[in-house]
Amino acid sequence: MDLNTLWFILIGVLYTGFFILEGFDFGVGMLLPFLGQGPDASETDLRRRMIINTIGPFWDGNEVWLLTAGGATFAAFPKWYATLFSGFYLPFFILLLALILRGVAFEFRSRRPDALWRNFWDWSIFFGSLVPSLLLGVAFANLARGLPIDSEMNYVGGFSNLLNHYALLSGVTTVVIFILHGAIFLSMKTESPLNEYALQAARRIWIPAAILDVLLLVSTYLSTDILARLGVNPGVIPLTGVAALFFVGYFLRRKRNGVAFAATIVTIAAAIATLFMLMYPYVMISTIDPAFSLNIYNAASNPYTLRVMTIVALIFVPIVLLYQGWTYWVFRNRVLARPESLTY
Amino acid sequence: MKLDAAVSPPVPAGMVLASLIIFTLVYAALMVADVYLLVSFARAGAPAPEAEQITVRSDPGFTLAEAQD
Repeated sequence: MDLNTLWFILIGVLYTGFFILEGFDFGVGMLLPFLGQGPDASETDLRRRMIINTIGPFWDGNEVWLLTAGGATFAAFPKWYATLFSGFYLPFFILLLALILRGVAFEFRSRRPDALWRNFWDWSIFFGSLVPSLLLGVAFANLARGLPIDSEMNYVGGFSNLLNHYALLSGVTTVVIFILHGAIFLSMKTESPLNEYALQAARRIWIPAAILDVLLLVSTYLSTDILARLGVNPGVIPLTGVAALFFVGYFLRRKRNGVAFAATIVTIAAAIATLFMLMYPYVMISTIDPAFSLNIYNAASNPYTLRVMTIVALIFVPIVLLYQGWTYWVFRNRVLARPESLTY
Repeated sequence: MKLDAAVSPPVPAGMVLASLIIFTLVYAALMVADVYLLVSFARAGAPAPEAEQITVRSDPGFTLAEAQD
């Protein structure tokens, strides 16, 4: 395996880590205004604070996986980065705005007591979680489907070109699976009664999530060249992903929330792995002429850069994994329903 | 490479300008919110010294040798 292939796989791993980790905190953010509802105003506020505190120590570390994936793309495949970021300028601009508001919202929300202030930031967290989930689902489906890319490696379609049926289905599926993933996370990280409400929400959202996931796999056959690349039987990875999501429903009914959470992790990981298997060795597929497509060789940095990056990654990735794992260990307990124990 | 040649062809200049203006406005609004919080916390004043700080000093187990470690 050459370094180009290694870095293609590593970028896939970074996106997988991002979608698994930020997937649940986006889900928690989208559930915030709905699960954060109590019989009175003070109970509503307490529940919202508990919900935010479940992801308080984690969300920013989770988001770093996206930055690292973008950074690795820039360093290893600068032409992929250039085509992607200029082609998706408007959606990525909206994505950044949503992430900026969301990040500030966590910090500002509980610093003032008035309801209007808190409500504004709560909805910033909601939209700041919904919009990125939707846009990333749309963007990744377009990568699988192919884009109008000319001989100069430039994206020549408009914004509306990105909003095709397949991409929108992928966006909605991403949103719903993240809500499911987040609801299961909340059921494991909060005290009664919030954890029971989260479990109910997870059971309800599981049905549309499973239906959408099957629809997405079927429409992947209609909208991408998966048939030519992976065959009628797409192989063990995509099928495991879809099957895992069906088991989630079973585990939730038996209150095996930890196993259900592991199963949604498998589904998300398999979805990203399928996308990267579909693309390899291409990184941006041209629908104008296959010869215009960017692949891991014509979009890559020089071999020296890739070699230096590999050494740096071998040193620092284990360190990052260790300290992120440590954060999860330190904050492994459930969030208590006591205002004085809440940071956010 | 000159700057002209480095510009992303698919991105119109108007869009770059619009995103720059919107980012600036959003950051300005967030700065206003931040300064508002800073001022309101500063007006509230520092909290009274907490009891636990005092207990650390009067802790009989806390010796000078440990402090130098």
